[in-house]
Amino acid sequence: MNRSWIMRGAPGRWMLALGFFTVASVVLIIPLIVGVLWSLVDPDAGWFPPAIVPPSLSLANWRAMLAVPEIGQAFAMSFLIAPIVTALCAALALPTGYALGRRQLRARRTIELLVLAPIILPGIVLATGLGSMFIRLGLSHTVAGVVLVQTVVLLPFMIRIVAATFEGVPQDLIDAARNLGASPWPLARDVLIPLVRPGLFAGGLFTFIGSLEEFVLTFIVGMPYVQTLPVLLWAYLGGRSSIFTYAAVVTMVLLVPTIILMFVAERTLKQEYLAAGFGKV
Amino acid sequence: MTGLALVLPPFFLLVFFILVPAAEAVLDTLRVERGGQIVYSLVRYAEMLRTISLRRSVVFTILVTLASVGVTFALAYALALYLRFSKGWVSTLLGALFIIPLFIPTVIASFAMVTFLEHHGYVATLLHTIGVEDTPSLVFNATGIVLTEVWASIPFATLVLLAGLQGIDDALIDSARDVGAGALRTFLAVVLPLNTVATVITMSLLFIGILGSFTIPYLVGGNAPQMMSVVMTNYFTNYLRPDISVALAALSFVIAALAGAAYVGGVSHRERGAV
Repeated sequence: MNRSWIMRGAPGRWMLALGFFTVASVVLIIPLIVGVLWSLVDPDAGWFPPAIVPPSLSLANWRAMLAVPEIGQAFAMSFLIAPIVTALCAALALPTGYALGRRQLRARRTIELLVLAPIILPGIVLATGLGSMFIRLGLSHTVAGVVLVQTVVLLPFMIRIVAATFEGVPQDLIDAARNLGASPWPLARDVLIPLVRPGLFAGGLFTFIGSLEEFVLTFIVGMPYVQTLPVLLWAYLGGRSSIFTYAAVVTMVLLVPTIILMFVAERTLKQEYLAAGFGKV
Repeated sequence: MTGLALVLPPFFLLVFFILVPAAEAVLDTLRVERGGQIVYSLVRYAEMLRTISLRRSVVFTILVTLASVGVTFALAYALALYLRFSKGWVSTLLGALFIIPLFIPTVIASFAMVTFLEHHGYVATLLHTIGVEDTPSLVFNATGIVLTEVWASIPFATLVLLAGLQGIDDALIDSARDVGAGALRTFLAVVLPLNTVATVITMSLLFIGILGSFTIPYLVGGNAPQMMSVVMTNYFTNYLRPDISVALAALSFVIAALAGAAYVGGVSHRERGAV
């Protein structure tokens, strides 16, 4: 009870809690519900103010959008690229996270600053520099190019989260395994990797979602042949026109997998590996 | 030495694909052809700073970024304090709710905010039904950018601040109360100073992220003034002046690097055992 020092008296506390809850749900949830409603607007009836909800609902927009082959292709593209990027980031971040988390490195500060670079540099600097380099290397407009550019920008988060997890592994366990004669590879496979699995999972999830969401670099490197869901969404909202109803459908197609991932992640996120990852350079 | 070998693959990847191209792009902005010869000069930067719309964009970007950081920070701090010091189902539920925007792609968040805040959008419609006829324009201007940036940044800021608050020993707070400190006094004299590192990290990363963000200002912002990232893209693709675009990006990088320095300082402060 002494933890509630911040609020005095029961009624005040309830008011504050209720206020917070109302504001949070209005701000967080209702824009998304409005988005769902937009995807279900009946094109014959439309949805005009001052109607609070659309006068009639239909699946016409969904049928229209799902009949367009590009949405299926974009969906497949997004879910082809995301797992590859996640696996690549995990493979690269595991050894680096171990070295940063458990070894005394002389070049540590330099490496940590370098890891921070993709976050500090504005996307356009990366895009212009990488653009000409990718054209020279023949990577522009290819899936490989998009995978590479997404891996580079998402790697820092993965490295930070994995390094923070490695730091939390008790040295006793490593020493015990070594005393029992474990050589480096069994040590990594049977001791270290299982111990950092939660961090790896949190980082992997973050990377996966980051890959699904990544837009600017995918757009610049992949255009016009590699089209992921955000790129397609962009076409419906920013570029050609702003077709709310179609955009809402693409939104839902992209949103459902992320919401499912969110429920999967619930437990991992509570352990605050994500926060720990951000807190380290 | 094996430690260094473990770090090498990402090291080369980052040097080759981040540092080299970025340095090349910035060097390009300094190269000018004069009388058939390539010389290094700052003419592009001078041109950039002479252009009124670009100057205005720089000021606008900094103001919008500072406003977004300020609002996000205030809300996230309140939320983190509540989650740290309050128990019960409301707190648990909020703890699950506030994470949501982390999982919403920014393109979607911007789209949702536009439909929500537009002149004839959901908020205006709701206000209309309760008799408010005139809703100010909440989107396609600075207000829209700030609101959407805040919405998208709250989970990250709350996560980091909450992690910092979790590290504060309850005993310190109890002892402050025992000597008669009220809630505000306890917050100002105990909680806030003990959470400095998380505060610096949150603020600098928020600043860098919002300063460089493109999708939100492009979709939710107005026609003029625009944020630097949007202007860069316009110069790059529409006006076919990639040189000015990269010069502007270099300026934005310098501003971001200042915040980056604060971040690195904050983290090493903690590593020295200050907290």
